Amino acid sequence: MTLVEKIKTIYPVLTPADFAFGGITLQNDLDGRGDYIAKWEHPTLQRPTDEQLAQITE
Amino acid sequence: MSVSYGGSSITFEDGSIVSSGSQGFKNKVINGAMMIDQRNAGASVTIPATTVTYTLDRFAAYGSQASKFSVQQNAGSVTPPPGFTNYLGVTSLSAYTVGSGEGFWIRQPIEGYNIAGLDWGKSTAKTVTLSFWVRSSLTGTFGGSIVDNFTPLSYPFSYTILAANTWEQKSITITGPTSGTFPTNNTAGLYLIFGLGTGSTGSGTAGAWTGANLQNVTGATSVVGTNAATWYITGVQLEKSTNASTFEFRSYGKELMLCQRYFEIVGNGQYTFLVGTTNSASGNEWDYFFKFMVQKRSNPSATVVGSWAYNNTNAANSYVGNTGLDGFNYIQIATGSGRIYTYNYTVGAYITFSAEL
Repeated sequence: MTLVEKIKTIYPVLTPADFAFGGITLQNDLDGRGDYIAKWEHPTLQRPTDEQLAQITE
Repeated sequence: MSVSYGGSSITFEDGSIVSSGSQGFKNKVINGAMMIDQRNAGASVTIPATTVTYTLDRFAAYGSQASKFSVQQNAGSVTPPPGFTNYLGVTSLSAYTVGSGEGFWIRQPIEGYNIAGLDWGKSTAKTVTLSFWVRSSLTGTFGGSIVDNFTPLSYPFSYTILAANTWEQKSITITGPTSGTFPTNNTAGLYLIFGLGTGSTGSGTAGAWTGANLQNVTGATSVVGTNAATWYITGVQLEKSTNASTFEFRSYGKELMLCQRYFEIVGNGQYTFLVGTTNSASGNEWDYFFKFMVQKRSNPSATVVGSWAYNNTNAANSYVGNTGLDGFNYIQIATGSGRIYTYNYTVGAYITFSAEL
């Protein structure tokens, strides 16, 4: 499950525009580390914690 | 030899142009000639959904949907424009109709320190000119944008590709914004974006600063809208000037070092990273310090990649310890007695350090 799929599972209300033009930036530096949250500036939704994300499985 | 003076630039007989702002490092864009590709070494990258993904050094790509386009240094192997040897190539992988809230783009975040002289966000804001060479299988109006870091504030720009599959040089002059948030520290000062397909939410009118995160112009041609469409770019330059001057060619070594402030590979080659000592008692810890080629923008993340070989230790006991701006320490703990060492076993085994924006 990708990071964006996990985040959408936690916050189904998020739209493509939140990621494309809003304050949420997921990033992959192609350094082997994988996807991560580079920026989270959403007016109402809190940045999901590592624990929340880890709990989401296939 | 004739020389003409154009008010804010000097044009020489050979066509080269020097602008009034042409002191060192006039081009705020790093790797604008697309020479450096540390991560992929010319391999194609298919852009995933909703994740800003780095491709050629300092250039990242984004797509609201997965696998709609790929990015590759010198994709399609066409002849670059005069004076250039490389370009960034985008290839559309389907005919996708972009939704209103969706976006597809290439961007470079420019570090705040490098735009400090522009005075953006102040009453003394300086005018800049963006120039680049572009070639596409499509013709028509295309666009992009400059976006600030927080406000949001953006300046959509447009350019026209007149002939298919032909390199054309474009320049856009942008009046500096007197408002907005353009940090002048080690965070992103601004984002330079080239649109590849943008919905109405992220599109606007060209040629004016707007209080929204706009990434393209309304009605721009969608590259991802045509299967197998191509869009190639090189010679990207953003300079403090009211007109475009000749591209600032920096040496390969200097450009690589500029890139390594954000991303560096250590041990890029078989057997090129080796730490060890002659003998060690079980449980003993051995620490080594390595200096980066270039000081990093911020404390980097370290990732060990590929197949590594160990003697008298193992992956759990041989690892990157602390990282700093200047380097990192590597730790080995002996799991038994005898000679202890760690080395990268294959060509694809190395350590990456990322401090990307």
